[in-house]
Amino acid sequence: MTAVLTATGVEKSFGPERTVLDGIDIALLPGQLTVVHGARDAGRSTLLRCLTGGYRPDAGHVVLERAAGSVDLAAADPRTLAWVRKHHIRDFAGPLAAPPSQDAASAAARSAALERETAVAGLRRLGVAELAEVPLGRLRRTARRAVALTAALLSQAAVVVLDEPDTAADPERVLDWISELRAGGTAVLAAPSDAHPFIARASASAILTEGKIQWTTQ
Amino acid sequence: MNPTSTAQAAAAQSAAAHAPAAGPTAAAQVLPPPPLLSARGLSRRFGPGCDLCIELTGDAGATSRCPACGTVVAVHDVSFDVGAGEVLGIVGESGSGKTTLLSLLHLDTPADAGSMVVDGYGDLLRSRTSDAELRRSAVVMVHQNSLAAGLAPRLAAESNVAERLLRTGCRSFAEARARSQDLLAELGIHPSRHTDPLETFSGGMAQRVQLARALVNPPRVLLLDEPTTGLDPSVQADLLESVQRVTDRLGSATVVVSHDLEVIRILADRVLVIHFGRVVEDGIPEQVFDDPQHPYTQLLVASRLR
Repeated sequence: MTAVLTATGVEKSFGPERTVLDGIDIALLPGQLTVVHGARDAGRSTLLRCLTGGYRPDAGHVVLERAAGSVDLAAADPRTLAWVRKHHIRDFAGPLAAPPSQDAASAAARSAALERETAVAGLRRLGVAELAEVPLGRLRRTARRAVALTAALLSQAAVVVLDEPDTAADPERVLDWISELRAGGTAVLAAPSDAHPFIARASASAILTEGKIQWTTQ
Repeated sequence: MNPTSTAQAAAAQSAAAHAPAAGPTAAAQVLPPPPLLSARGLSRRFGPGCDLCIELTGDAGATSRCPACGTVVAVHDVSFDVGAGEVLGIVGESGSGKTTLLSLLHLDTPADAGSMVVDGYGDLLRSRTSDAELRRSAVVMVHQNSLAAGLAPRLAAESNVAERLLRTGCRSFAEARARSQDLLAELGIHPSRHTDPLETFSGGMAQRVQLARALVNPPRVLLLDEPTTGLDPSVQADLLESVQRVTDRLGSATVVVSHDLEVIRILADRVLVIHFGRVVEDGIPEQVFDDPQHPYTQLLVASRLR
């Protein structure tokens, strides 16, 4: 099976002092769950952002491969990047950027380009049905993250990348939803806060330490 | 006809008109369809100009005013593409050139150099169609100050919208009035205010009237000048929602200028940071706001977190 997203030699530093990623290779396959774990400050969020185009890597390639062609996110112009992130790659990396007066279900629906009732069902599925009618501006941060996670899981993108999804909603509910996405052919990458339940159901898992990745199961 | 279906019909019409490439398979493509607006090398100076103007301004001279001749290099070599339904955000401080850039795009200020190609209209800077005509169909601006927007302050809000409808092919006054009321309601203006003179409207409500006028005749390019500036926070939030609804439905190429980074993060798909008349950073909001590369952007982002 060919990978839908392939990263090679990804490097990222913040200033001359802090090298966070020092040559990362990773391939995400359709229908697979890849789990990245490591210490709290190992750079998992940075890695996930580099893989979805949220950060520009200093070096390396992140190639999306689709039937219609391929794009290197590390080299793509911003308009192409925005397009790819809208239609092919979806990340959950924090609360949605949406008007604070907008209710949670409407914000998730717009973000996932789906009907509002689908978003209401999605919130219910994550166990946070009570958020649906509440304006985003009135929600606490954890609740706003749950709304963003719902949008990511609903998005129908070919690649779904989740940063600490288990701190935004019940991990078992998240894992069940991920299983369904995998059955539909989605490639899922997760960096959970508590890795064990995710590793138990992963196709591959890796530890990120000192900017490098070590595969523990593959 | 209820307000929602009116707006949806307008949106469907405009999507069909604006995005010929966006068929059912468009979303499967890895590259975006051709843009509706393509700006290249837009430049504008105020002053006599000399050979050193470009060299001595911008980051190099930490100024936009040429020390040799006093010319202000307001906008230099700005290029970007915006597609159907996409929103480009432009941020920068007062004097950065963002207002001049917007006035170049609205054909209020002639450019010294560059081109602005709009789908179906060619290069607007070299068009034989009058600027006034282009400002009705090709490129529409929602002004911060509604007095500048060509609205009639003494006329009822609904008449200001109906006027646009009658000018663009709506035959009967009754129909124009009914559609105006639908559009205003859709944008959150209570029916009891529809017949009030526009001069009695607050800034935020007057901007909604401008948005309603834009929905009447969906433009290829929609320009938004500081859409939430001067409004109190709860009104800002509501207006952001209205703006988002309008940009989603119009299918226009939208350019929004704001000094409020949060507004840009919410509305824009992509961000240009302008400093001393130059684009110093161009990226998606996550890149620009969470991982800024240029020292000026870093300062701009850091000062927001005070």
